[in-house]
Amino acid sequence: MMETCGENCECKSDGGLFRYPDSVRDKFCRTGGLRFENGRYVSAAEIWRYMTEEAPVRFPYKFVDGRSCEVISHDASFFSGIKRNYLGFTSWDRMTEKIMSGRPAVSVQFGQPNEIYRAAGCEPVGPGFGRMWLWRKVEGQGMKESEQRMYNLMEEYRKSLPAESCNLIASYPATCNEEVPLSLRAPCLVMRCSDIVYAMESCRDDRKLPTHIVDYPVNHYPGEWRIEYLGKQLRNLAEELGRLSGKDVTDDVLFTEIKKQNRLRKLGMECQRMWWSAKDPPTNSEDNFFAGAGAGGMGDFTAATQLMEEAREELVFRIKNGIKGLDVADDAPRVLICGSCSCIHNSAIRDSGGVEVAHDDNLSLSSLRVKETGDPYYNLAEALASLPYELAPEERAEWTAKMVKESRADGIIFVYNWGCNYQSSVSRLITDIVRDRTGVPATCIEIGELGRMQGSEQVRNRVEAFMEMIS
Amino acid sequence: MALATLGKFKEALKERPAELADARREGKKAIGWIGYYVPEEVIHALGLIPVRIGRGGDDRLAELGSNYISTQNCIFLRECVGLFAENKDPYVKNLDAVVVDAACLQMYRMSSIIKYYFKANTLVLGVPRNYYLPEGREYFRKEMGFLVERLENIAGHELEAEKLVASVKLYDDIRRAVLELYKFPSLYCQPITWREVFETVQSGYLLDKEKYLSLLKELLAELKEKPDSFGGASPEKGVRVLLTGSAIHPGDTKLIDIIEASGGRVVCDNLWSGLAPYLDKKVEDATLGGIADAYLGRVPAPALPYFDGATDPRLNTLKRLAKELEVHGVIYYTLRYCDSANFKVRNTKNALADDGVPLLNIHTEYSGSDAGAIRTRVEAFIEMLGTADDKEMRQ
Repeated sequence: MMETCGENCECKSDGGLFRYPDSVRDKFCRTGGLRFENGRYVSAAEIWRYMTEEAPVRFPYKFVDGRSCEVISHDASFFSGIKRNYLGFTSWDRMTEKIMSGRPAVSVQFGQPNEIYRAAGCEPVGPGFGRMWLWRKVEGQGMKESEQRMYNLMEEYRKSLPAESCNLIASYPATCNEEVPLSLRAPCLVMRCSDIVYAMESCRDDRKLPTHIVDYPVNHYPGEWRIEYLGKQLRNLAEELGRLSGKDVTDDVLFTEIKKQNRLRKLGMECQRMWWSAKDPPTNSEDNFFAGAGAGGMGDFTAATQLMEEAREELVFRIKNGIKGLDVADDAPRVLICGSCSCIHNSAIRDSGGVEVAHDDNLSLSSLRVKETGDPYYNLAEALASLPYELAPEERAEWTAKMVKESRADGIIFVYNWGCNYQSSVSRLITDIVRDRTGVPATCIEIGELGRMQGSEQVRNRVEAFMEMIS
Repeated sequence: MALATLGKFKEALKERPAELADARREGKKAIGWIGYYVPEEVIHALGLIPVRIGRGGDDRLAELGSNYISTQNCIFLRECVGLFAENKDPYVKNLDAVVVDAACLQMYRMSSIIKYYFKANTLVLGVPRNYYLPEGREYFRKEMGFLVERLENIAGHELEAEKLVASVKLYDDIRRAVLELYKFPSLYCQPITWREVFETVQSGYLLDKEKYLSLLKELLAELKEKPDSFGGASPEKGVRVLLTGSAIHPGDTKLIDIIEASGGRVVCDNLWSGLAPYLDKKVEDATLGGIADAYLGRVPAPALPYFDGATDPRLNTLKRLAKELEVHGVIYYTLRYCDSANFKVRNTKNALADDGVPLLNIHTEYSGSDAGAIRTRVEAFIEMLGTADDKEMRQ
């Protein structure tokens, strides 16, 4: 049972909560609902009820009108944006339901494809799962109290690690809390991060959890052996996951999952490119979710695919009719965000009159195409080995420059978390190359606020100064 | 009395930059390398000149490097970048290529930085994190083969089997000599200090290998001739300390100076820049595959994971050394943002505590601003160890 604060809790005094206007309710409810992987159908009316009644009570910090990274788009006329928020808000409940009904939760790395985990009947969860699990025990809190609880958890678990571990990895030891329903640690190591492997090793004696690692070979010289090595490991992973879940991971089962995810990734990139090609941004930054949702699937690839198809229709309509996203300024400077598992709060860019065109890690994963015939493990390895975000830094920079041109970005901001060695190490190299190839200005910003909902003034100042420069 | 052979090492080291420059003028190629898995004997067998790059302890160079690599990275690597940026180091400016292994991911990133900004011809050697599995070993063999292909291109000829056998033998002789040399600082009479041994081994990464081996043999002979080297000498006073943690590189003497000034005596190290690479290496088969297996079969580099605390070979080696060398305590040196060492402090401390061996973690950078604070901590630690030892003796 979830605990709640109660009606008189002072933490709700963060200010007025945003509500979707009743005037659009009927129109929204006439759109289709969402069909989920388990066959369940949720009508548009139920989605509306959830988003106007239940969600503001459970997650008030998402509805405040403040400088928060959690705040949802206020564009009530972009219906797929509302549905996307519904999918996002309910993804945790759906995941919990699956895990509680016996689906093994498996800890993975951020930004890694998850076909094998899902095909094996397991639930892939990120490195922050432990902290989130403990944090989500309490709902209904306002922004400040929610944020403080998140921070307290992070600091509590950081005690097991050096102070220099990045803020995301700092809470990795929370996975050792016996309350956290984790069955296996099986990340693809080395992708995007150098800290997670050390955190796993540091926690090895705190909770006896089985570990099965997939080593992502970083040497980017062309070499067939690199793909073979990765392919063998992916096959071993499938066997291990199958043993855990009791499911036989046949090639057909895996291809079905690959096809499903390929389709969503393709749709995500299609929508993203439509957004880029529009004269004016057809949505604001908050509703520019296409590459991200295409890459991650929001916990249900079936529903997410349907959502993306609806989004595509809405984008076509908006672009055809010259409709601009809510609160997007005229000639808004366009920014591509690069870097590690962090983000610039949308409000900082929006308040400076700008708009985000995409995040490079989402673009990278969304552009993944796995061949759909032959050996599925080899195909996955081949695709994984050529992920743009994971390429050697110079090659990654060339790809980023291409994305800058294609998205018509006016500038790039390379962000990295405090304590992140792996991404920060190449921040200057990548921005220098991109600047050289495209002529757009670039800046690198260190973020110390992971886990905070409100951005720090220091980061905000730097973003604002950069936006002013590129305006 | 000072050891005469140490003077010869110093002299040889002084002459080495000019020798290297001359050799290059005569058409020989120099290959810089850094890491734990780079097969130096293969570079040697190809007729290339292997030179381990990297220095420590220079805050100015680290600052210079920070213009290219973020300050969220290990200060040693920042200094490495600074060396290439400045391009005054006699070894760095005389390189035809740089081989970097990808065990430490920050080091791998560093290779990209020096390649892009300073046009270094970098050759990366992939290292598997699943090094204990057959597929990991197979991957490494193929990485090794590919590295050799690239080195052959630089050398202008193929690797010859007989020359590889000869180089493997030479490096094995060096390894045996280094292991023997390392026994002396732990003797109670300490005919040679650990610092002298450490500096000798560091010089070996720069000197001509045949000359290095010859000097090592001379040094060992000189040590064996000293009357108190083996047996007979009464135990000297001094707190016996074992050093481990982040790599210590030439020039990085802040902690060592403080330990010695505080009355501590370093008797051994377990550093990847010190004794560790020599401990378990045994090339059974002088082929590329055999060399790859030998390198991967050693106690893993700190940058590679090991998930079973009970059988961790790194911890077991450390515990074994601490016991065999009768150390009073371990000083665990960590450089800022050297994550491969930083994240292991807790487990190492707990493992040593089970054996009753105290551990002091010194976390620092290359600047001298924290020297006072470090001195206070080291002095207190050594005093504590000394007091405990006195009590034990009184009992």
